[in-house]
Amino acid sequence: MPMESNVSCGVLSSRDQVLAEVKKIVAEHSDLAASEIQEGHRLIDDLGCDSLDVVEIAMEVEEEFGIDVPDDLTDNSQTVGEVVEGVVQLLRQSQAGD
Amino acid sequence: MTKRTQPALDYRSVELDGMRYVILRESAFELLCGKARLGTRVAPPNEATAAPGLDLDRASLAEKLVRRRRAAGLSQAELARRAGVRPETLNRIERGRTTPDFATVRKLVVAMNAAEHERLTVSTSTQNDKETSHADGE
Repeated sequence: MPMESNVSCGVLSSRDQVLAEVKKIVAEHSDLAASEIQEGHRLIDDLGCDSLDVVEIAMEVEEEFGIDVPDDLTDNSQTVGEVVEGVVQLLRQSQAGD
Repeated sequence: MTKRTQPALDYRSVELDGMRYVILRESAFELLCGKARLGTRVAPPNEATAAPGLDLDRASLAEKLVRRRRAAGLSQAELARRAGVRPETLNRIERGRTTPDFATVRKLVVAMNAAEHERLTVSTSTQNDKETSHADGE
């Protein structure tokens, strides 16, 4: 792992930042604290979110990262890790577009 | 002649999407199927039940939406109009009869947030008006 982080430090650290931020947002809609939330947790099944929570999480993510979260990402992201991946990709796309 | 008391069959019933279902112990169900000489098979998941946790989600979502709508000071019809959702659809969602997709929930959330924001703005500006008129009066 340390080897990898040397190679792509910027990308890794930004993914970690995204993960930390997403955990914080998700924690507000969940019974778990941000520190207890893991990437493999499913929003609806493991964290007790309902679809209203999921939509609000998506909207808070948009505000936090300044991106538009398309509906299909909301539909397809079941776990915290999948949300993070989606955000990282959207951030990359928006940076590439700049 | 002594009457043998029949063992009672405990069950509950629920209504989902206008259909009534009976919930009973699996052992009782198997017993009944055995008596009726019916084979059992688990129905393959259909689209409506494929997403895990959906039925539970529907009830809690309905409750939360109604609470949020009232907090935003909107009638069902008004929210439907603002969100661009058919009133019948919103009615079904709020009664837990249907599970909306994320796009629909999102339209509702956006409309409710906007209404809440308007209310806050209006109440603040009304307060400001009062303060202004009060100041004018002095």
